[in-house]
Amino acid sequence: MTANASAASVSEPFAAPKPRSLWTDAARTFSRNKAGMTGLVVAILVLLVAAFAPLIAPYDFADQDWDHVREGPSAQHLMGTDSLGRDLFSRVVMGVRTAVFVAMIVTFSTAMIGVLVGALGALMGGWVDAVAVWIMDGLLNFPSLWLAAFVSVVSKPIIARLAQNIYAATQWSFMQDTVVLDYLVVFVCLSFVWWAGLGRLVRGQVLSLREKEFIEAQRAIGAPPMWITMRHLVPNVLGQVIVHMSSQFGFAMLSESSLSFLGIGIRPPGASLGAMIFAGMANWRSDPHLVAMPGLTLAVIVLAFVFVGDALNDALNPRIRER
Amino acid sequence: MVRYILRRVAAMVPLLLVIVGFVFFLGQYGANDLAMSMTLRVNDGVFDAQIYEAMRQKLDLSDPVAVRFMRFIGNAARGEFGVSYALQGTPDIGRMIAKALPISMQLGLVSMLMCIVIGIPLGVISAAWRNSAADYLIVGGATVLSSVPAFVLAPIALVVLVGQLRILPTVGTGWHGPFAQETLLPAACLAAGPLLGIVRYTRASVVDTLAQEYIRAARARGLAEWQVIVRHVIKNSMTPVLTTLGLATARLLSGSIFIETVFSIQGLGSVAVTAFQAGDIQTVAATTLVSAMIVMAANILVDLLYGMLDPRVRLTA
Repeated sequence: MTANASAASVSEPFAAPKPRSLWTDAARTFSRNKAGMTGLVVAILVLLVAAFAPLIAPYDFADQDWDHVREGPSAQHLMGTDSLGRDLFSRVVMGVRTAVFVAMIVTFSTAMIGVLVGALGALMGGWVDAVAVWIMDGLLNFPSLWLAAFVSVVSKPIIARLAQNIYAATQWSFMQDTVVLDYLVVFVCLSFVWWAGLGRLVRGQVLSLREKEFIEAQRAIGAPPMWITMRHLVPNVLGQVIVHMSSQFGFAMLSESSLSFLGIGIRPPGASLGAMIFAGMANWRSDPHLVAMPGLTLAVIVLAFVFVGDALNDALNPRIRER
Repeated sequence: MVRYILRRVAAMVPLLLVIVGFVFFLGQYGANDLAMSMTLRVNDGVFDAQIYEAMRQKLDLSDPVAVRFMRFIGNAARGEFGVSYALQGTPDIGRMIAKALPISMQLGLVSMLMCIVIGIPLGVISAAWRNSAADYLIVGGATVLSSVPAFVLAPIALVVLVGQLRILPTVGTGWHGPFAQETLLPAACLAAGPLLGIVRYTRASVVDTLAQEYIRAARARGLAEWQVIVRHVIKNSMTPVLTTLGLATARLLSGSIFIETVFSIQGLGSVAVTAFQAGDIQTVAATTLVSAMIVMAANILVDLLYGMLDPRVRLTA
């Protein structure tokens, strides 16, 4: 492993050719993966679109034009218009922005909780570990979307009450915005359901790494625990965490759309791909583009992130391919 | 074998308690005060302490938590979840689920069968010709099918197969039984989700088996390659594939929410969706619990089959 090689070079300055680090090695492997590179390009495009959505969208996503209702794609309306004459392209762009925003928050919070609980369980052992494992196993046993929907239904009144109190205390008017509430509910329910997978992964990694020979060797030559943690445990676990986060990012976007499709995610006036697909389902026969445009966009985005995740997995975890 | 079964089932008890505990605490403590909302409903939106107390009595909310938790477990075991106060006509939740569950189970089983019948041969093929064009096509195709969300795949399949090409008959609403033509499309869309997992696991397992010494021995005996695969490889590589069926069950259940919505099938998923949208926590809790129980049952079944097929597991685990 490269981590070994670079560690060896510290104690042995004569070790000839300059060793490649884990990261440069991974970058080389990644750049040779065509599907991964394609996915990366699409993923970066998606992030750019999300960041600059208001500049890209040619119309306001809520503007209704009753002279152009349910039109197919044209030069004027790239993806056509919906039953209220709203520009579909602008709506899809804003829906992507919504999904990316949700995915960023959810991926970040699940990573925090997952790493914390997983690492704590593995390092502390005993009943802390036992409780952590029980909770994670319990969460993972549910069909994830079902549990997320359950948590969203349960947490909605609580969050609404909380927001009311915050508004009363601070007079922040956005706390009364229903779309902001929808966002908060989606953050809570997706984070609640999703950290368990990463938690189990991190726990398993930390447990198995601690027994590995190269860690033992470090301990034997008297490396301080801090050095072992920063130099060996963190890079090895980090690879897995990054792989997990990158493939979860796409699924987090998908989950936001799924909840919105069911009417319990981001609701109008917020823009969401899932809600658009659901609305389009009413007339799939006469206006298939209302389903196909947001649907295909979502499908391409999810696929792109899956490819990036797979390629990263191959690049960063060369030993754990094909699991 | 009996000892193994007992041990596996006993090992599931803590998990069962954790799952029921999740549902109980989220459902009972996480949300609105149910007695309060019922009081407001009965009393035209005005709070009345007497009615509130009566409602609490009626819902047995004043008992200690432990008592209520044990009662919840007992009732759930008998399929009693009370009535839904949020839905029209306060229907009995247990009865709603009892009516919907067989439909979802049949749909799920048809999909699972499709997954196995299609996924395993594809996995074997891509392993036998690994890194060939066929391999890339199969794994790539399965990746696409499984990554496209069910609520995108199903409408697009409707538009293309039914609307444009007219290959399949108009999809009627409702449930027509597991062998009806109308079931083909929903079941296929549902099966797309877990397909990739099964193909990948089969492929990995077959690749592992192909590297074994006894396969070289079989080839050395002069067996044709297809005979090696059919007689020796498939038999020995199927046990790891079993483990994915538990995961596949969970994915099928999540997917059924969308497929049942798109095709208006009156299964467990559509009961759940109605409840989601009405904010009906009691019904949502009950359906969530049932779905988790199904996943758990599938996992136990997989464990037992595993132990039956592979004596090493039985003796060590």
